[in-house]
Amino acid sequence: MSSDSRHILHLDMDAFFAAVEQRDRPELRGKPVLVGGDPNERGVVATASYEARPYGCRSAMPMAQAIRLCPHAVVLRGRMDRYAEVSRQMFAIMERFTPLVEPLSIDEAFLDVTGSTRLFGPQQQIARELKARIRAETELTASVGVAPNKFLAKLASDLQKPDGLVIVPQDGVLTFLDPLPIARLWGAGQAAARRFERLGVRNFADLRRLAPETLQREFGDAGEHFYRLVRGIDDRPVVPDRDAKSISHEHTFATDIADRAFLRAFLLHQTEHVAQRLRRHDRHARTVTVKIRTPDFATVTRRTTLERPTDVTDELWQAAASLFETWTRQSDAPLRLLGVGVAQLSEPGTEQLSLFAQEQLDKRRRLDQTADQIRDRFGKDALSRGGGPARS
Amino acid sequence: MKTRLPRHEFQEALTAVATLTGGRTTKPILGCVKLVIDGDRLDLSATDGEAGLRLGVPTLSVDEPGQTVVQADRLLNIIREMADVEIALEANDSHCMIRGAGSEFKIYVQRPEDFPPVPGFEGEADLVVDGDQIRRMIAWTIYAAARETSRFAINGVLWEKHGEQLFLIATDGRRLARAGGRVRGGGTSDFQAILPGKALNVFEKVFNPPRDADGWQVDVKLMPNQALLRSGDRVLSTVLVEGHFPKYDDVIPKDNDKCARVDRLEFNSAIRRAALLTTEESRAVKLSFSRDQLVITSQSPEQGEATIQVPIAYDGEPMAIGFNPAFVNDALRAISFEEIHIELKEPTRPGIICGEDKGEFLYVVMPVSLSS
Repeated sequence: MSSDSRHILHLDMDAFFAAVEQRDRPELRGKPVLVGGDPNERGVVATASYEARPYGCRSAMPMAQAIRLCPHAVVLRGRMDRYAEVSRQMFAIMERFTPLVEPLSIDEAFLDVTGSTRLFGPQQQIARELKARIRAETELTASVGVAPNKFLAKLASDLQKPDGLVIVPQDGVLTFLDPLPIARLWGAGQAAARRFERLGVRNFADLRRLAPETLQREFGDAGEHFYRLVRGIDDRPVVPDRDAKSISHEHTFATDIADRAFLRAFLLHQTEHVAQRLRRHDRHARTVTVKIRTPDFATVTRRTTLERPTDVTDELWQAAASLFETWTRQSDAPLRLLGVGVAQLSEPGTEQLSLFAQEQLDKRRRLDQTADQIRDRFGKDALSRGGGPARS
Repeated sequence: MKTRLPRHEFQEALTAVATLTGGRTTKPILGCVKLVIDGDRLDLSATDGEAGLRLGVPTLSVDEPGQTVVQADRLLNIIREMADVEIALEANDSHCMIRGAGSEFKIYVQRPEDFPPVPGFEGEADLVVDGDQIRRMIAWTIYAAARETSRFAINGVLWEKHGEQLFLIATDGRRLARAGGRVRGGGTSDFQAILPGKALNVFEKVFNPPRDADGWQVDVKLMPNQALLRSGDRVLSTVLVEGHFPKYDDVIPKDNDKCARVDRLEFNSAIRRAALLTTEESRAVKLSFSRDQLVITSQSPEQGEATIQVPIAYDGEPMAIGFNPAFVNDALRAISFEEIHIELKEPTRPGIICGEDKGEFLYVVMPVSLSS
């Protein structure tokens, strides 16, 4: 099926948590700001403002380390409820342009504007208008990539941060991709990077020259994935959560990670995020899946069916944690990818209340509500970019 | 071993045994029944590894005492198909012969030494209860037990003795059934023990009122990990369910102030009808109470809706509450009162179904939230 005619936007807010703080507190403007966890408790940086970045501060870095790099930075614990509020505002703006908005995190989304061009003009114009509306209504900047598919759009949005707008035209896909360093390839972690180096692959053009058989031999199933990506092929549709048959979060680590405690904590964050997206769209899930990929590219998925559909983080987490622990009992391999997903989504409808645990369950629900916002000290930035998650 | 047996009684005993031996098992010996003659009676014993059963059959004559172990289903099928009034049984180390008029069966046997021990009832009973009463109490509670034991769900029925009172309680975490009755005798100390649902199912099938007695009783003996139940010459032994029974008293509502009275069979039938239009995902019927009228409604997004009216006696404030129809009907089917009481407080608080006397029967059921 041809995907030639699609127009996909990837929107990513710039240094979101820090930018919200600088907006709300003018005295912070122009100063390095670090939002994140407690440095004394091995917290990590969720967001470093652009002023802090020249010092080497990055998201996912241990907060203690970031403070050493930039001792005069203003360190904030973050106000997740505030960020969630701004996030809702920003999603509402996006939904004015198209109903096809797929949230990736609190401050990042894909939009399919293919059907909106008649109403709002060409995709470039939609992107400019979207950025302008967000700036006008939230006083924040976003970077946007415009491309024929998700993969390219996401690459594009990252190229001119902050306040960037990068457009990849249909006939300029290869020109756009070829010079990009291979590290930007989606799904390529450090193990893949070593193989690329051995094969003399430095950029997308180099990789495109490799025969499909070579890719298959070197990377297994991921080889096919790479083969398509370096040609700019990505047919994944933009699926709003309300239409989704499943909701998932997965992350490829920059380095293979064996630390079970860290992975478990990471999985919890992912689960919290998936649960939040479930709740945002008023869905309950019946199955929970954990996806694991080891450095040899072997991918394992483990699935469990819950007694009844739920949107409570704790219940989803218990299922995910138990799947993960079952796997770790069988293997001590390091991981290059970890993900969690939920499926068999349904409208909440009726719910059988529990005789003994209802109070606890209600409490957990309230907890989820008050901070659906409380995303962890890892913000979305920590999960998706930088040198992978921090380990301290 | 050589004996003559009344076929009908032998068949009855084997049918009782089959409640334990019929299950799937990886150990062939657990599908067997042990037959022992030591005196003028034949003793049968069987076990599934968790519960055990011993019972006796009178013999017509004993030519030679002894014991043997045979595959229980096979023996039952043979005995069931024989038309004879009496049959002859003869066993040696390798096989067992069953003879009637014109038929002869030879079946191979297992070594009696390999058969797991099945305890008998020894010593004094800790509890003596009326047979009909305990059967009723089990029937009134067992359906509320969970299929598997987890934190608030127990695959078993709690037996709780308080002085002269015995309570049986079962819960799967969403509803709870409690039956109460008088103790007839036994020891003086109070106790709590959780008997597995499976063993109580066997009890229901095997411990029937004897034909020749008006009143019959069941003796109960408790050991650290085991319970024994005896009536006549039948002894059921079972392991106990480990784990803590949830603190059930806390979840029994004490202040449900909206009370309705309704004919049990009429209510049962109305719930059944409304349940026809519920779906697998949303098993809920809505009960709307208003002055002397109950309207039960259900809807299934793809199929349609049902509205059923039931006359009731009710003078409380109008109120609507959702229930899983199966949870309501499980109780209505088990009990036998003509009229039942429904006591409610709020749509999200547990409801009560009971008869005149809550000590005799009490059912607490958690509603289904009708949020959307």
